[in-house]
Amino acid sequence: MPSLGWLQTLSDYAPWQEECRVYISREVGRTTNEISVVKSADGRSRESSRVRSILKKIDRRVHLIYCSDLLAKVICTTLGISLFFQINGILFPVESPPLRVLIVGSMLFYICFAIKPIFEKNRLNRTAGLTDELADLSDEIKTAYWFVRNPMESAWIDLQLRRAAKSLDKLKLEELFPFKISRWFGGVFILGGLGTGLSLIPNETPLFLREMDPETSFSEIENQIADLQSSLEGDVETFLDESDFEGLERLLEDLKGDEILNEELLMELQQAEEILNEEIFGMDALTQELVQLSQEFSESQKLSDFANSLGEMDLTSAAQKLREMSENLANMDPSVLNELEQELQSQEFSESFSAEELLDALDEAGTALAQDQISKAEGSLTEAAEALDAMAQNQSLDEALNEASMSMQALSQEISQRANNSSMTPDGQMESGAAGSASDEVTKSSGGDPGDGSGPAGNSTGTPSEVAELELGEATTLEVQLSLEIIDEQFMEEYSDPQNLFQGASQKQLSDLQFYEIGGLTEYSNASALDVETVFWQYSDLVKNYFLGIRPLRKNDNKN
Amino acid sequence: MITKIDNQIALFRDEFDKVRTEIGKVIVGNEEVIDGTLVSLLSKGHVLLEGIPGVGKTKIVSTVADVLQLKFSRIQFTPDLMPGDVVGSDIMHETDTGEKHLSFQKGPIFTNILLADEINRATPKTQSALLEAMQERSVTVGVTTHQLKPPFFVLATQNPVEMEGTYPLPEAQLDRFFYKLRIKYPESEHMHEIMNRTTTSTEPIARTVLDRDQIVEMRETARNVPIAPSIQDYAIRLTLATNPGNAHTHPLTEKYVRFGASPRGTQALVVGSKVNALVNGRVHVACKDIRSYFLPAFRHRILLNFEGEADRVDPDDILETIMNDILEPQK
Repeated sequence: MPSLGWLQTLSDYAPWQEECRVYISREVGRTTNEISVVKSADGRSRESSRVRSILKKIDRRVHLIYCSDLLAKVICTTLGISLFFQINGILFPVESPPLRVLIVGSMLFYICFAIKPIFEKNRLNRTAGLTDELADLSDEIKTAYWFVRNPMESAWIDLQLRRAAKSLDKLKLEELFPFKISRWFGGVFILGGLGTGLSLIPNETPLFLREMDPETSFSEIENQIADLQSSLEGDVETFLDESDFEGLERLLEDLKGDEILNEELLMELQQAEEILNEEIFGMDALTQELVQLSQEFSESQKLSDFANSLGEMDLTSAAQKLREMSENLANMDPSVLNELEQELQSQEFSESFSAEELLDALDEAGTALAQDQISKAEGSLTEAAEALDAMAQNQSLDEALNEASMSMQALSQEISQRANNSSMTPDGQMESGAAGSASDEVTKSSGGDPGDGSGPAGNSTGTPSEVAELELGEATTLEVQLSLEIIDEQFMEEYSDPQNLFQGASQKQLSDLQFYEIGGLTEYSNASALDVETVFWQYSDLVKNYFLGIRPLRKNDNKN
Repeated sequence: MITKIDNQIALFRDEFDKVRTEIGKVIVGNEEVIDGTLVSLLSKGHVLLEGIPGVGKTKIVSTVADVLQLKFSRIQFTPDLMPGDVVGSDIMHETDTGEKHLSFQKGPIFTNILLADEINRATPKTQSALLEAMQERSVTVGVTTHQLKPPFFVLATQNPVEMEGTYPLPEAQLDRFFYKLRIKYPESEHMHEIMNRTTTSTEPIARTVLDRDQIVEMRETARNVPIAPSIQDYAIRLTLATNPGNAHTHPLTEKYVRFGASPRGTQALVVGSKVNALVNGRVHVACKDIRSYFLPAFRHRILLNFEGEADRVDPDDILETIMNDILEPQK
């Protein structure tokens, strides 16, 4: 403050004392005002910088706590995802993404979200709001920070800033914003422990889980489809008619599609199974005959190998043995040939033997040997070997067809089972609407009692044929009563013709439930409908809807 | 300067507490109504008190008048009350010399505290006689306008139940009221206290603790409290939420409200919040000040549409929903 003492001294001696005094007082007053303004501005900026610096300090602390919490959350989430993939890998044959990718992704996520607040605008404003909330300061810091950013000359604002700075000074940041271990770290430990525990389980699909989990059942179906495909891709393709095989291929495509539980698919599966069954050779009888043949030759020294191969139903090997014998006939001793001839001719086969070609060829070979026609005997043995080859081929085809048929049967059973499960209520009871479900359809189409096609309204626990014979009893609950009426309503379809409708009984007459006529209980004639005090409360909605219905449209009505 | 303001604030709180304590000697409970009345008085507003008969509406007003050293008048509003009975009229005077001239005979409105008891029983014509006085603080009779001495404070009462033979206040009149305060039925323990105080030979009496100049000074002090724009924005957003057809409209408003609160309502909200801030020893307005008097400031400024009337919606329910749904700044 500049010294004004010289002015005071001057005023004491000057002749124009009064003017001087006025001048001095004015100057002193002006200077004092200026000084108070300077002091005020100085104080304001000091308080502002105090508020700002403490808020920055709080902000840094809050950010650190946020980062620590975020880290715990990210680790927890990463472990959770990793655990999910781990469990998924145990339950399903699905390849999980590498752990490295997961960790890098999580780190990037963490870094992004950790540095994001640093670039946010009005960070300190948010911190001020948070401080107000936590310290219960009733928007004091928020207001002060606004005046820090937008300074105004007002003693009230200066006072507000001073009070805010004092409040901030008094805050115990350690108590208000404590550094504590996030609760999420508990989750980290739990998930980490679970992960470690799961890693000890061998990574094979446990059967019980497969049965329990519906998703696993779907993978079971997929596996069976794959089996069916592989079985059809073998010899069956060459054996079946082109149209039949195309039908099977189409069926495979449908099975691989989304609608696995389609009833039509089940029907198609049944039909395909029947086609395959028709084409199966019936190798059982032939097998018995060949076993019998092998027993007949089993005592023969020369034909024992051939007999063994026949006994084991290794027809290819048996054919090979005959070919070898045929090639060696020319080099055999006459005595050996004689023995062979006797062994071949000594056998007696029933006339009903189905492997006719084989027997004829063997018989011819015996006869040729008896007549010393070695070359003819060789030819006959080769023919017998070819007959055996043909049988071997038929055998493999039969096996393939059998396998395909079995696959289809298993697949249709699996799909039916799933259809049944999906239509079961949580109590394990079949829903009334699902009485004519896919499984029943399949059973019917495979020779079961077709029934009358109308499922019962109540619970169904028996086989479809039994269910169809059930008679509907008295309804015990309103819901069942109404369901029965819905079924009855189907018979009303015949009255869809208006002529029939008038001739037939009305819904009211058909219904077992009582209808009540709603008559007027009060008179409106003497009261204003708009007067809420006189509108009977039961009719309040009715009156409201009526007036809403007749009112002129407003702008907002179109939007709504 | 700052110290001076600090003293002013301390004095304000002290005087407010004194008034509250004195009123509390007579009135049991109803702290919200007493605070609302005093906040309204210090905000240069008028109050409409609503409550069933016998809950102490008139008693509150007369006690407030007792505590304040102000001129008090009471008008019992009836259907046959005329505007002249309220504002006064020109009457003929004859001087000693025999000259006759008209002179203005002031009505009961020329006072500091006016109790308009059962205001909804008077005809709209008489009710509207108060309009100019309440807003402009002046009364025009004929061609002459007479200024009312500050502070001019109208405390009107009305009964919400008995609607027979009443004239509901028009919107323009309702909007003139700073707050509409609802007097609740007293609780059991309060009833005991009321019985103890009023059924004995000595009834409690409230002392006069505040004079006219002090009230005027307190009014000026309250206006100086700064409000951050973000808080003011909160008040504005709340107001806009009560008005249909704008970006801030609340869905409930869109459904049930025909007209929402006016800018005068926002003024009431902000000024009342400033007084409330001082009462709580703060030199800034907080969101909780805005929330404290949101219902009293807005409940009479909401005009329901037909749907709202038909569904018997209470404006308080709409306002509470709005208050809960509109977020405070930085939350």
